Amino acid sequence: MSGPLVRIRGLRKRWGGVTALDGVDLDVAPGEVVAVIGPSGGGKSTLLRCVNGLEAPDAGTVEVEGRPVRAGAADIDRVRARIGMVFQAFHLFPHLTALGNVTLAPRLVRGESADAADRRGRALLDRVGLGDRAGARPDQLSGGQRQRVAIARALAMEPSLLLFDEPTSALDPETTGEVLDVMRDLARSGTTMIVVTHEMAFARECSSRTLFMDGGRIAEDGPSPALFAEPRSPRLRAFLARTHGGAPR
Amino acid sequence: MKARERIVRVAVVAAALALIAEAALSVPGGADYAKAWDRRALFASGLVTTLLISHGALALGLLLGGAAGLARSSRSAWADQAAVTYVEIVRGTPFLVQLYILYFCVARAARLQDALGSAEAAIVGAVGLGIFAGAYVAEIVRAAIESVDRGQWEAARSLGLSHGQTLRRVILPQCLRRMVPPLTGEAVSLVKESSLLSVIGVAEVTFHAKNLASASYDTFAAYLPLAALYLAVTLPLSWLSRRLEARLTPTPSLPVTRL
Repeated sequence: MSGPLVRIRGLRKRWGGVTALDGVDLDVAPGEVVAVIGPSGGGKSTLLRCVNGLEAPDAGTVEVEGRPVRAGAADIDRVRARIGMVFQAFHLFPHLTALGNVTLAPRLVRGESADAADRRGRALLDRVGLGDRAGARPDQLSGGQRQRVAIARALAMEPSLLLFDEPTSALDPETTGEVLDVMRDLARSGTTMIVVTHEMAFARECSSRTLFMDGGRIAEDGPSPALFAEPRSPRLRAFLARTHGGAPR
Repeated sequence: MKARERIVRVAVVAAALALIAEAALSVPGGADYAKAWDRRALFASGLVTTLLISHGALALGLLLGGAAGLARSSRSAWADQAAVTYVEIVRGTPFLVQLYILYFCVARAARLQDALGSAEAAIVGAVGLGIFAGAYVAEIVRAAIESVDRGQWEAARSLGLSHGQTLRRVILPQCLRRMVPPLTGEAVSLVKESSLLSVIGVAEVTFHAKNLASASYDTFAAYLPLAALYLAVTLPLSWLSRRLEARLTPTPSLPVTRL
């Protein structure tokens, strides 16, 4: 495919009197791993949620693989099936096993047979290190395990783009590591990812590009090593100082 | 703790029964319960009618209420508004008035008597009761659907599931358990409301008690056994609800510490 995988133009969104997105333009090329950092309320999550149409922008357009993403449009399910999303609070389906969570969408949306979906589902659980917990229910898993199941669930649809909305913010430091390991592997394997995160170390070391969002705009955008090494704006410098700039703690 | 709770329960129930028995036996002028016993065949057939009507009405109520409850969460503004209108009209008027309108206006105008014959009152009454219960069932279904975390919708939709698939495969399986207690409550209400069908001449159990009372002027002998009969139906229903709820609860609940 030629051209960007994600193409965002003039995106605006207001919540009551608060401006969450104030004219965002963004292109993401296939294979890029984009970290989105910035202070709370800077519009990071809203931007991410506009990419798969969970949020409808007030103005502007989003295209993924050249197809417009519009909440409520007739083809929105087909577009979303190509975009995986991992949430801060996991949102696993509590009435299904880990394997059931992973196989539900392939069976319903892609019409895969139970056997084929199970086989792929087990392989994906293996990939996130949970091959032995296929039969466990979400409430029998730790936070880190749940988030890894959620990642496997998103991967099961073989998406061309993976969105992560603060995937480790609800986790304790011990289990944060196991989730970041899985994400690091995904980043290395060439999966296109947009990751909203407070994990500066992950942004600095594992992403190819970092966006600093502030006040609903992309305030700074560049290759991750450069952006962390030489922040241009005072605001990013202050932000990195507050968050230790991703230096090992 | 459990044993003590049980002893307390038995003691309270026994005390209540003793009070009621004492009151029932010391009625001024005396109550002749033999009269009620003489009519036991009538009471029994009335109770059967009550149960049949309640069953039919419950089935209709679940059907209507399920459809209206789902319509409330559908994306069609038409379906949503139709359901709101149904629920508000039914919940905003007394069941007795609905029954009068259905029986004396609608059924008359449609000449249902010609088609249904002597079963007209019972069938119209059961349908009316079903329509009435459906409005409450709709609210139970809507509340249960809305009680499921928004994130469940978002997770399912972000995987490419449609609205309907999400509802069927993700949302409803999670809220069926939450619907059990209020739905049983609705079934209990329905059995009790069915007593109002006596005013349009349906020969259910209250109808026979009223007949006995007006024939003998012995209201105690007529209505105390009647209350006992209703309890004989409703108490097992409540018990069944607790059992069902416990069975549907996947994990054992944490022990509650009473402070």
